[in-house]
Amino acid sequence: MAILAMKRVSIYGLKADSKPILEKIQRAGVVEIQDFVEEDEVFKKVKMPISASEFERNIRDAEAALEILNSYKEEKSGLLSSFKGRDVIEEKDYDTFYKKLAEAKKFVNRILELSRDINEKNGEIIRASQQLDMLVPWESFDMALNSTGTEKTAIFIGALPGEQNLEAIAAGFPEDLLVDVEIISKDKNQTCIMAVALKEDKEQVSSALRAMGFAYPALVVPYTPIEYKERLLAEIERYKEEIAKEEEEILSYNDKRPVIKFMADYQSIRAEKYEVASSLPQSDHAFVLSGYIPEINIKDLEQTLEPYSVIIETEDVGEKEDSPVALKNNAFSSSVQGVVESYALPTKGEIDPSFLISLFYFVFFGFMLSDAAIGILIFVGAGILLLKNKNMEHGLRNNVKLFMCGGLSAIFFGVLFGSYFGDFFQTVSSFFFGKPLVIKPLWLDMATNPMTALTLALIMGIIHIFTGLGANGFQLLKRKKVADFIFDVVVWYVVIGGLLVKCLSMQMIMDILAGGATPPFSAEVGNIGLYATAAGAVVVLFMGGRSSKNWGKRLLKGAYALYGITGYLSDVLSYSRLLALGLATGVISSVANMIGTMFGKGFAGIVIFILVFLIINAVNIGINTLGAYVHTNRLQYVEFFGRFYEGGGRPFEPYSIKTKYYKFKEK
Amino acid sequence: MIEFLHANMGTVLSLLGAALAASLAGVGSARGVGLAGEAAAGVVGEDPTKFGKVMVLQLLPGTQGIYGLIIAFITLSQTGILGGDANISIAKGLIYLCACLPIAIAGYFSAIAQGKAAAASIGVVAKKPDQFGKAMIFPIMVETYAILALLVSILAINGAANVAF
Repeated sequence: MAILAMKRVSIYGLKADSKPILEKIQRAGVVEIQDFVEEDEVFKKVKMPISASEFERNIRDAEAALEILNSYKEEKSGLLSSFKGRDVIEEKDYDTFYKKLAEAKKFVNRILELSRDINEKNGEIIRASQQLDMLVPWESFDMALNSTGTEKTAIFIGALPGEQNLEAIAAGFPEDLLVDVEIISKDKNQTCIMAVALKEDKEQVSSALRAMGFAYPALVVPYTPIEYKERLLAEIERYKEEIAKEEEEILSYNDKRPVIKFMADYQSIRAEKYEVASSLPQSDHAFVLSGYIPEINIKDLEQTLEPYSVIIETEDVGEKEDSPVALKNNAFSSSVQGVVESYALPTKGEIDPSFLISLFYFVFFGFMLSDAAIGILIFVGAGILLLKNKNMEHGLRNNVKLFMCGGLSAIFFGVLFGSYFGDFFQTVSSFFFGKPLVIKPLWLDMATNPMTALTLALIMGIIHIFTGLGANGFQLLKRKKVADFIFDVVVWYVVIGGLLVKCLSMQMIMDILAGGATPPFSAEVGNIGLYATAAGAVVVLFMGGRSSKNWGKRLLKGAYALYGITGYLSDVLSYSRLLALGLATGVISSVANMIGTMFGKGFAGIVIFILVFLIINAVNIGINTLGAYVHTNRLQYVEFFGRFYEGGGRPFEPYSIKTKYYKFKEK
Repeated sequence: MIEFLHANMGTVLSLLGAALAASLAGVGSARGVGLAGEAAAGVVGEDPTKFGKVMVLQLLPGTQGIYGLIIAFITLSQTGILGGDANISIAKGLIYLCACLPIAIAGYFSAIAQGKAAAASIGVVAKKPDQFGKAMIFPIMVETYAILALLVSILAINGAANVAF
């Protein structure tokens, strides 16, 4: 339950052992590499012979091959597969996998090659179909398209712009020229013609045609259009067959996915190892690796590296050093660790707030949901997810755990306030069976008694805020800032505490918040509270700005500090959301129950009831669970952290095995 | 006519309150969610894997509509318009109408403002997905005021039930 103590570590080893040593350290995953050792005459950084880009290319190829496989056959993935986590492989599997690596590379290359080939052939098919389109106007022509003439004649095959008739074309030639023009086809864009003339008139005919805008066809082939069309169709057919064959081959590699995935993982492990290796200062025979290590992991690392001749030196981290932060909490508190991490990691001198948060988190979460039936659904759902997915990733597992505990708490508050899908049992029993079955709330019904529930919410808020203030005091004492502890923490306890005592002695407050109960404190005690508040306020006025030497400035700053009392007031009121959101869940469910019972008791009525019940409650669970989650987070981040926590620590990023598809079994 | 009004005006007024609560807060939420949705769709177009995160942010301004529904529902059932016989005096009807106003007005404006904040937070997630936790807080800050209005509406309606007119 805390921030892990970090140490600086330097590991000296023989270059001959560097490979296995680096591998062991990577597997252990407990050292964050940092260059503490300066380069000098003896220890220098050396570039490694194999560059990282080769690994990266391999990773890219493997990913691309998987992508291609996916495009032909989607990997089966259920609705809940994102909870599944990566498959675990053990060390001995890792070694046998390693032997299959060359094979994997072969598969990858073959898949990429096939895919490239298929792309090319698809391009060819498109080209052929375009030619087919171009052939359409020539289909009735029965000579080879590249015919230029016979021994005595010249033949011109081509198109004139626009739709033209024979007379118009004939008019385009000089009168004494002997030309026979045949129109093969025409549409409004072009007129396809064949012109035959004597060979000696070739030039004249050619220039006359040019003047009319004559253009040779794009397809000049030694076949008649019909022949050529058949050839093209056969070509397309052949390509299609070949593509089908190649696709089949790609599909036959579908069961090779595991090896290919392993290849990607293996290469990324090696890429990181080589990156580290090339960053290490080395002498002729030795190397040194330096970085940060959590103190609790030192023993393990020493044991792992026992077989090699290494020297492991550790030293304390300097006072002002920017060392990385890692958190470790018990099973219960670790479920809210993600909440802390998504705000900010603690910095030096701050406490890890995970434990404190876990004390309040589920209370608030449950209060905001406060429906026993919905709580059971969430609790059971999250529990099943956890049981069924043993390999769930760490962060996700914590989050699911968070919802499971939140569900449990919602059951508790649901029983307390008597809400089971709102008034489900009451409505159903009285409507369908004519006899109301009322499950009495253990404490009170929030809807008919909102003020009392509001009071409870505000009291929770006061406890939460006071705890935050206490945490601030603890941190200040740890840093030996006694003056700050007294003037920023103790005095505020007095100011707010006194105010609370005064409030609790006033009948008016009790009338509003506690249904007119007699105040627990007499007027005299209340006045003592008020005096305490006044005294505290004076202290804040004079000491709140104690960092300024100038008294005028100091008093102004003190006055501003005193103004902070409004912050306490608004912070406490902010906890009224506990009641509002808690009411919302039950009321929406009750709306479903009421709408459902509007359609009678017949068969159709029951069907409609079930439909309405399912739809509205599904939306209800979604929205209110989300609401409970985000608003609980807000109460922690704003109201609670605002009192003591800033964060901003750098996360611990160890040199470790970072894989995408497989997880290596942790010892 | 006068007699009819006298007999039913209270019911009409409470119904007007419920209608305002549900519709104004609902329209506000629709606008807020729509605004955030436009931003969310843009992000998902670039990177579909962010769908889960941006959807959560898009949903945040949707709660005002639900608060409006809650108030409308409580009003309808307390006045007996839903499942009972509605017999409300004009004064009591006015009380219910007033009790509905906080969530109607604050719900409308806060949902739109929250939608804008949510759209901006979606921008944060687009650039830095790991800052989701912080991005979520900005729209939630706005929602506080809708919750306070909801609370006042709930307390006022509850108080109205005990007023003898």
